[in-house]
Amino acid sequence: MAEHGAGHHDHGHVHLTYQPAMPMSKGKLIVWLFLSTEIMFFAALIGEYIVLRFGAPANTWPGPHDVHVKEWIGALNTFVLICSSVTIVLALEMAKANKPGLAKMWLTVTFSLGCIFLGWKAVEYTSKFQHGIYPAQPRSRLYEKADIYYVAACRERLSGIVSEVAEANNRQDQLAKAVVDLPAEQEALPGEIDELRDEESKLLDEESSDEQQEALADVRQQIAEKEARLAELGREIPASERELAELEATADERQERAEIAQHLLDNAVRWTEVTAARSDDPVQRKMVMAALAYHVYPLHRFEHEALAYLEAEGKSLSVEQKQLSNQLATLTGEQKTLNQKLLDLKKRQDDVNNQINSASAAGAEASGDESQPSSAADLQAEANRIAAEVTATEAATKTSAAMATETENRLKAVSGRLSILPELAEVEHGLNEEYHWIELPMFIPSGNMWASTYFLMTGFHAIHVIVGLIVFVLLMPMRLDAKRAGFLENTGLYWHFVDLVWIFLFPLLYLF
Amino acid sequence: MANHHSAGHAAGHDEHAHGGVGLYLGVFVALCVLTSASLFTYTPFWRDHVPMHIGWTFMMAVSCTKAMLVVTFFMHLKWEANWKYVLTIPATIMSIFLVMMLVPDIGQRTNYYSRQRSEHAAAPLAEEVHEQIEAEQAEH
Repeated sequence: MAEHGAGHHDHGHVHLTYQPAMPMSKGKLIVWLFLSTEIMFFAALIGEYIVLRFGAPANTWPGPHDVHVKEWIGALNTFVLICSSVTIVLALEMAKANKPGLAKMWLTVTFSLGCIFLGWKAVEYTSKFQHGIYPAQPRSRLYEKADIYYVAACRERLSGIVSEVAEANNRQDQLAKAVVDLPAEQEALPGEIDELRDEESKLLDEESSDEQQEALADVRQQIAEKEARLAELGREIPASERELAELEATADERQERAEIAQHLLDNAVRWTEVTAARSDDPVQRKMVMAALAYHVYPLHRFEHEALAYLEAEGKSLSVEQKQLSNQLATLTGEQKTLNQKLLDLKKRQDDVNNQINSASAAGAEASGDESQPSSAADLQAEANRIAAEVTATEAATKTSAAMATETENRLKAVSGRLSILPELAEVEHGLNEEYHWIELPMFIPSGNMWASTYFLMTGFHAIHVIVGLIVFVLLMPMRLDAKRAGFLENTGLYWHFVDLVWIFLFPLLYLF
Repeated sequence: MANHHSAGHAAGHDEHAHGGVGLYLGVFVALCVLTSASLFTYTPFWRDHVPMHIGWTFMMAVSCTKAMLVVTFFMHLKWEANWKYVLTIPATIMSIFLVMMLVPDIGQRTNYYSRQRSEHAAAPLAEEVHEQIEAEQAEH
């Protein structure tokens, strides 16, 4: 209490001593006032999280493992912060006992523990970012529902990959052409420049007229342009070669990615879209999308339903595949018969036409003779009948061909789907984990709410840890004896508060 | 935290009248034990034997106890004067009030779904599917 200010009244007889309004130092009072605002701030944050978390119905809030939260890291960090609370209080005790060396030692230990906490925090944040779990504009990769919008987002991402690869392949082709063409141009340029220089000196030797002046200026400009182009090529050629080498090095990988993306696009995503749009069964419409979401990013609690659906789908598709093959065989047989029939009919038609022709010729020769009018009329009727039959058979052939095409397409789709099902079943931890580059959208119920609140709370807490560490660094050069114990006490109060917040964050974020 | 016997310490004396390394280590051990207790709720044994809401309540109770220990001993509130009540009691009341005010509309937002809310809310897959199955069966 050195600030009592009695020194101003030395000259009188009365020695006045001011009592402070509060039974503590001003510094401590200010720290406590500051902490009271902090308490309200974090109480609001944590309270808001509690309400959102516990208001979410069962299975609509991500479990720790759904969002790559590891309990042991949280527990470890809790332990680290508890230890740091003890060490800062020991530093204070040492300072009060006037042992500045030991006080500094404990302060350094506290600082190191704070750094360890932040290190683990960084590890955790990195794993979230790598898995695409973070708030983002215009849209994060987290989806609330495995609905048609989710499937459309998957399609967009996969076709994006395919077209990126196509673009890169085009660029590679262009560059492959450029590294042949450009050196040829580069070789030709010095000769062209020499020619121009000869022309220039010739023009210089001649008498100068306006025309020659103009021609000279023109030649000089051409020389300058060509030289500039030569210099440009000197840069462009190595750059093209470098880029080409890079593209060639990644060509196989790129091609593989494009093939995987295309395969998924055709047999997983488009299949899902078509089934979701056309199936008469509402449960199937729902489940086919849920199964896709499960393959992209498996949530443990949907495992049973998704796998059961996929097994049923596989079985019914195998049956359908057999039926379709049979149907196709029947249709092909039918088409053959129809074609044969058509050929026969055409032949017969030709015969009848010939008969009609010969009959009419004979009729013309014996113009007065009306002995065979009925047979001519019969032939004409027969011809008409055959023509009608040909038209009908042709129509039937067309219909049959259309049906065959349709059956074939469906068979192709079903076979593609059947081929991808076992492949997907083997992808144990989801497509996003299997192919890190694929970065498909994920279905995590309340995932966005979780990511926002998680980063908000742990982020604010981490900022407080950083501020605490800065204060520790500022205290370190001081001699931490009994006179300075107040500094350590106030810093300690703040640091304990940081620990206090974590005491609530740990179970809320890691264990619920 | 309330310890009325030591609440009236005068300003200059409190710094020498409390604490002690032994006490701090005791609190440290208690904090470690409590942390292990809350971590224990994540074991399969606990999940299989204790209802979820009891687990949540237990963990919050453990957290509050830990917070109490830190505030009382590490932050020395045990040995502070009566101003500590001015600081802690209103803050506690306001925190509780904040949560209580949000419970009816936000916390229980999914208990009574309006159509608009249900369309824009996350819903568990299983329930929706089962509802649809039921609707299907009702139709036939």
